[in-house]
Amino acid sequence: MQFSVRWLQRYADLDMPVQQLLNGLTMAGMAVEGVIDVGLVSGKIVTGEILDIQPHSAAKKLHVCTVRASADSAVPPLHIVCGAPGMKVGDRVPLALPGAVLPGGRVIERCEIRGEWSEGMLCSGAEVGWNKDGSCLLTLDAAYPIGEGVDALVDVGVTPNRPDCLSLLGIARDIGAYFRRAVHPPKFRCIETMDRTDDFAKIAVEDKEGCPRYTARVVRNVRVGPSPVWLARAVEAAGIRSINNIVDVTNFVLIELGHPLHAFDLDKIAAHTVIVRRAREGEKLVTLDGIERTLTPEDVLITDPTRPIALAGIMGGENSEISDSTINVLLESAYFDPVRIRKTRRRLDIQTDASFRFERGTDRENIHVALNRAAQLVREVAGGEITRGVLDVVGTRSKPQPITLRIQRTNDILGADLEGSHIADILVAIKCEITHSDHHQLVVVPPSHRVDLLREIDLIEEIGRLYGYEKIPASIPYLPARATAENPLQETADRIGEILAAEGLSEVVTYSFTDRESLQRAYQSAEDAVELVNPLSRQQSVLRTSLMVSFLDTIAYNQKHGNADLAIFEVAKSYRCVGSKDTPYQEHLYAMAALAGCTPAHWSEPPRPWDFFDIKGIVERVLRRLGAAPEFIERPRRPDFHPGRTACFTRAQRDLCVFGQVNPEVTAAWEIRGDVFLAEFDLEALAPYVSPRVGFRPLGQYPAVTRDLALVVDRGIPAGELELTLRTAAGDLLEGLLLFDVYEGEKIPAGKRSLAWSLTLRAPDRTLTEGEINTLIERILASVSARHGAELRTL
Amino acid sequence: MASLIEEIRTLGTQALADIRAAASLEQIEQLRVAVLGRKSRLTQLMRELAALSEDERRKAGMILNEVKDTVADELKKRRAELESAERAREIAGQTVDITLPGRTRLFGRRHPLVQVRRQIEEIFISMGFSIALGPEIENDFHNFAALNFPDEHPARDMQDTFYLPGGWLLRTHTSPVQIRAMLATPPPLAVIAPGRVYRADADVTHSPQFHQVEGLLVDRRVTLGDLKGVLEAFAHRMFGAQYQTRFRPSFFPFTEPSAEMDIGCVICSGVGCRVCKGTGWLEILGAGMVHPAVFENVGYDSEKWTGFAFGMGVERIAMLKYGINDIRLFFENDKRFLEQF
Ligand SMILES: [Zn+2]
Repeated sequence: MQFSVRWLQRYADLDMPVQQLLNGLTMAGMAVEGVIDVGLVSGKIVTGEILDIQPHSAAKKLHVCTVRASADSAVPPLHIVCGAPGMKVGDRVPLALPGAVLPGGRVIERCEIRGEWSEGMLCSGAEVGWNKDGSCLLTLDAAYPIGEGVDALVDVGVTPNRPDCLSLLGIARDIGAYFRRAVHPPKFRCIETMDRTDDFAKIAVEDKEGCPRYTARVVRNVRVGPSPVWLARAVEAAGIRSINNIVDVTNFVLIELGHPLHAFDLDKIAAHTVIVRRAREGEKLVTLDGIERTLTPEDVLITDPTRPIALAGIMGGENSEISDSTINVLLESAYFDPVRIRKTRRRLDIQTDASFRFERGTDRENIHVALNRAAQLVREVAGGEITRGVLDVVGTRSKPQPITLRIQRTNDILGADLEGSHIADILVAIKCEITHSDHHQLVVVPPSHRVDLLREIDLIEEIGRLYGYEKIPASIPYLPARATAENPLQETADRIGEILAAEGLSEVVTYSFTDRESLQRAYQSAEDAVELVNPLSRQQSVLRTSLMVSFLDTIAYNQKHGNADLAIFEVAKSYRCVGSKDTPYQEHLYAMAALAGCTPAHWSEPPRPWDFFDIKGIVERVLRRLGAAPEFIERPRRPDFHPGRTACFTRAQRDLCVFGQVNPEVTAAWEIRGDVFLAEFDLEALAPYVSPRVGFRPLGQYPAVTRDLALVVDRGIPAGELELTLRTAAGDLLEGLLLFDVYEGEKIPAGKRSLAWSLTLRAPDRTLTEGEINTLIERILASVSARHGAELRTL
Repeated sequence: MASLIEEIRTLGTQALADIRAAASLEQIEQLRVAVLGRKSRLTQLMRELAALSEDERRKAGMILNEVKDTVADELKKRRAELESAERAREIAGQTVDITLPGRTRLFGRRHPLVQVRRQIEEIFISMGFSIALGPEIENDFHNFAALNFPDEHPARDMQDTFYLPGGWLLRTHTSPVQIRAMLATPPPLAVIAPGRVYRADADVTHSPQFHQVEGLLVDRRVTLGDLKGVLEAFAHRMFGAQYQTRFRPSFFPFTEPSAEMDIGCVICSGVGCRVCKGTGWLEILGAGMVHPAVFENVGYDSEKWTGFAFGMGVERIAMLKYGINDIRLFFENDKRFLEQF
């Protein structure tokens, strides 16, 4: 909500320095979110009065103005060069003095313009940020004192629970209570003629639920025209465009008192009769913004006997709009049901100053005041006569209910030690009525504008807020110590992240979103992808079913930005529809690691492209450090991976980790150069096996013996099978087994390869004898020979 | 006898001179064999001592052993000298260019958001909170209704929600985890809920996906003062004790009284800059006393138990901590960005 500080000061005694006022607003709960300083804070933009205008000697379009810039008439006026059209002697306008910084950042200096010195600059509304009009100077009314900083337009954040602060009077009331300063509601008299209002207009409310109260007045024989300067500036200061004197009055009353009003051209209302009812299904109304709206029975509609004329509480209709030829005006001031207004404005996707207030809740007791204020102002700025009496249809009445406030409870929640009398003072400052008080409690009736005060805790908040959070002493509580259940999944996620970072991979955080096409291009399941009802873009229209698409995006992005070599990981979820009624969606936690490009370059050894065994090494070490030993290694059927360079570690028929090269068809679709190697750890499959405990095995006291065996086998025999046979045959004495060479070539027969193993043997209770070792080696050789046809390679 | 002793002494003197003159380890070895070896004159003389009388044999033997020991010591000393000289020559030839870069290995890092999240977690864990987790896909009850967001209430506009078919939604905050924790556990309770959340909003400071850490303490007689104490301690540990904190009244449907906590601007130290919009303060989190309606919704007795809740955006904290000006950098994962943390 934007407002002018000078206007605010008319409604409460707020003569403290502006910075103190702004700080007070923030500390009272209306955070200052922006300030357009038109000189009130800096003092560098002042109200000046044009005393004389002379043509510039050297430039036809320029003038040299003599401008009074001080309240003290003894201070000599300033010479200002100005090219604005339409200025007159006697105008009050903003004068930016040397050193002033305009809202756009422009700095004003004393300068020479074609031979004439200018001591500053006269400003348009656009230049000082007051309105959008850059075509002429911003004229100010006599309320702006000559020589003083013009004003400051302040934007405060009003929280949804405080619709009472969406007006000048409302803010004045609250900040007045905060600073304990007197508040002054506007004083005015609504002067009526002898003609009775009900001779000129009739009201009927059919939708009493949507419109619990409807009031109206008639002002006859008005002259529609531009607003006077004060009114135009006042609505603009709140960020509203000045339209004409009648509309501006309704907007001014909205800003001043917070109650939205609507003005109809009475002569455009058939039979001068207003009927408030539910809209009919499919009924249509063209609103003031020129858009045809299609309505439903949940909408509250203002109609005449022939047609809709306004969308209640949201926007008027074009057909009953105030125009230059309007003579008689019907002013509406009503209370509309917040939920109904909200439903309609959400469905139609329109937000107006009126709907914003109605859906938050307006002050039911303010309806008459606002109506009378508007009628009086219309009469003041557009002439005309206010007819006698208010048309008032009351459906349901609702009064603030008394609330019991316990003093002990208040102090218990706040951690304070406030006396009952202190609490009562605070409540009185915010216009609560205290109907009973004793040592233990107060009975409090909130004012009608405080629609947020419904129960004890609401009052306790007010006490805390106006006592001042800063005065409540900070304390450190004893936390309820309780052993918490371990969460193996979270434990696994944390640990795998640390291990992968220690492996040298950098963590990424990617979006959970993707689109169906990307999933399909990566051969990921797309049919069961979770679709967003209201995505921000097509690229982010579904939740990913696999982290792979996010990784391909990340690798492609980095390649485009010159980062070809990448070693990354992420621990995150993928999502699926599973179709069950109670839990239609499933989230699954994965860790994904990827290698793209080459090993790090160094002068001592040339870089080489990553390969299958790099990713496999990472996977093996990760599983080992997690304590989750796999049972088997298999070739999985995964279309998204390279068929010959992909493996899967399994345990208990579940995939712990699928790893290998991404299908080159997929990387090509992402225009990624080179091979990408990926490992997908299923953390939910891993979690049960992750053991934080490492079992200790006593260190052998007897010497170990190492024997190397180079075994020649058919090429097609997997090393893993040979290894399994070696381990089985060697039995408990085998302490270590290392494959240290794989050879294919001229030195052995074609179709064969040699796998050289280093066996470390040790017995826990004795030194192995030469004979014992030889017997064991022979048994091993016999076993690999029998199973795999392996022969010992002779060198 | 005298000539025998004389010869021993002469042999000894000569051997010592030869050893001192030796210039290589090979010469030392040759001398050792020649002077102390089995075929050496000294060894031979040792055998000849047998022919002497016992008295003479003891005397001559003593002298002989003394000479042998002296020679052996000298051999050892000279050998060590020569070895040391040889090593010195070797070392002299082993100089490397110490300005050549060291051998590289991949250097992995946690993502800045994860680093900051874990830092936040650790601070609260050290105070006695434990971690609670929950799903990202939620229903209206856990995300809104139980948290005292009435249907069709403008407070719902504070959070632009992504909806899924069937009335489900992507959680807009991790507060549903608090509801789940309270439904699952009787009070007292002290949990923090870190996690990924979603809001339909995208610009320089808003991402449709971001991360939060929320906290909840429920116990007998928890006060707003306790909330201030815990969060001030957090801010000081996160950003440093030199930054002031302040609590401003605010509004959240699920807390009352509600507050936002600011810290003195970490960019300009409170003087006023673009980041703090000239105020000298930066908002870092929202908090408040748990609204009695929330306790009623989860079956806690709001007369017996009070509590506070707080929540912060991990991105916001990380942006302030590292001076990052565009939230999208966190999710682009440019290697040049990731390698800075
Ligand atoms: Zn700053």
